[in-house]
Amino acid sequence: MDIKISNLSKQFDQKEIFQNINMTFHEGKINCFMGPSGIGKTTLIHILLGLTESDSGEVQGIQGKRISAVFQEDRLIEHLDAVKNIKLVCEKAVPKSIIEQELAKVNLTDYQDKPVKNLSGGMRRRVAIVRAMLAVSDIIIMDEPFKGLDDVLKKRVIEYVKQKSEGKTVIVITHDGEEVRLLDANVVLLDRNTEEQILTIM
Amino acid sequence: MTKTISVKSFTTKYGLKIFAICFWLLFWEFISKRASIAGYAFLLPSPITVLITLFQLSGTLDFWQTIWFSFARIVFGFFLALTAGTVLAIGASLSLVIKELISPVLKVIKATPVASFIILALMYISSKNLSVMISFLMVLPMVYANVYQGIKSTDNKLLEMAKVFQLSNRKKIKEIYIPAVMPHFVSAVSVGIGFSWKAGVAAEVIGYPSGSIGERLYEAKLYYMFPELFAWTVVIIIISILFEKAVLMLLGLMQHEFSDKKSSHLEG
Repeated sequence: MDIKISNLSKQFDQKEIFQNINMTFHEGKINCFMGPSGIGKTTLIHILLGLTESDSGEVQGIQGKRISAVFQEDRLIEHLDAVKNIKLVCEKAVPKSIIEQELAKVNLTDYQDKPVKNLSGGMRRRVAIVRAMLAVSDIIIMDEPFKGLDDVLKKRVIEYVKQKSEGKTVIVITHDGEEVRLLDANVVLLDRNTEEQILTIM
Repeated sequence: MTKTISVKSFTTKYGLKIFAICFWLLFWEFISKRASIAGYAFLLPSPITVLITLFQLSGTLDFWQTIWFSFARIVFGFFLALTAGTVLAIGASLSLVIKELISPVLKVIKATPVASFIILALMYISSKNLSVMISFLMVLPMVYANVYQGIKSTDNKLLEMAKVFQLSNRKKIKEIYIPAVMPHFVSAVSVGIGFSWKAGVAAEVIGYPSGSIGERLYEAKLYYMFPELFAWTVVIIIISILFEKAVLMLLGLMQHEFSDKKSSHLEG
C-alpha cells in the first residue's frame, strides 16, 4: 500500500509548519522527498516515524508497518562500536561476520573495537545507513543520509542502499538532484503553495 | 593499550601528595610543640603521640569490635539510601504524582539540621540503630537528586531512535539509560560516603550507643583523653577514605563488567 498523506497540518508554538498538505509515497519504490529548507520536511518525517503527532489530517499506509530510519543526526550509541550499534536494532542475532561484510560494502574497514564516538562523521553516517538497512523493516525513512560523503563514496553507498532496500518503500529527504538521479527515484516535492508535484526520473 | 607514565610525572604526582601530607604533619607537630611549651600539651597531642595511641588501641579486640559496630550500621544506612534514592528517582521520572509527593519530604530532610534529626529519631528508635537512620537520611536526598537528574539528562534523540527501531525496554535501560545515569550516580556515591560517615558518627556521639565509635569519642572528650580523641578521629577519616575508594573501585569494576556484559549479547 502506498503511504498517502491527506490534508496534514502541523503547528509548533502557534507557528504554522505546514497546512493541508497532500502527497503519496509509492510502495516498494525509492521516493525522494524534496523542498526548500525550513518547509517542514523533517517535521513530516517525524510524524511518519511516530515521534510527533499532526494537528489534523491523515496518514495511511504506515500503520502496523516496521520502520527503520537514518536520522539527520546519526543517533548512534556512542560507547558501542559499529557492529554492536547495528546488532542492537537487529531483531534476530546477526553474526558479526555478516555485519562486517555489510560494513565493507560501504567501504568501512578501520572501525574494529572503536566506539563510534571515535569515528569520523562520514564513517558514522555509513554505520547509521547499514543499521537502517539491516534492521527488519517494511519502510525505510532517511533524512539527508548521504550528507558528508564524497562523490565516489556516495555512489557506492547509494548502490548499496538500492540493493538492500529492494522491494521496500523508501523515503529519502535530499536537496541533491544527483542523488535523485543515482537513486532512480520518484520525486515528491513540497513547496509553499502546498501543491504536490510528482516527477518520475527516467 | 598500555599507558606510559613518565618517571617525572609519577614523581610529580605522588611526590606532591607526599610533600603535602608531610607538610601538614610537620605543621601539626610544630603547633603541638608550641602548645606544650605554653603548658597546654594535653590539648594538642603530637602526631607521634596520636600514632602511638592508635597503635595501642588497635592491639585490643574492643577496638575492632567498635569499628565494626559503627561501620556496619553506617554502611547499611548508606546502601539503603542508595537503593531507596535510586528507586524513588526512577518512580519520580515515570510519574509526576510520585515526584510531587516526594519533593516536599526531601526538601524538609535537606533543610533540617542533622542534630534535630538525631534528637527526633532518638524519641522513636533505639540509639543502637540511630546511625543507620541518620546516614540513610543524609544520603537519600543526594542520591535521589543525582539519579533523577541523570535520568532526565538522557539523550532524547537516542530515546527517539529506540522508539523507531522498537528497542526492548531491557535494551533501552542497558544501553541508553544506565550509561546516562552512571556518572551522576557515581558523583552521588562519592559525596554521599563522606556525608554518611560524618552524620553517622555525629549521631553516635549524641545518641551514645554502647560499643560505637561515637561512644568512644564522647568518652575521650568527657575524660580529657585527647590522644584517644585524636586517634579515633584518625580512624574515622581512614575508614571513610578506604570505604570511598573501595566503593568507587567496585563501581568502576561494575561499569566495566557491565559494559562488557551488556555488549556480550551483541558479540558473535
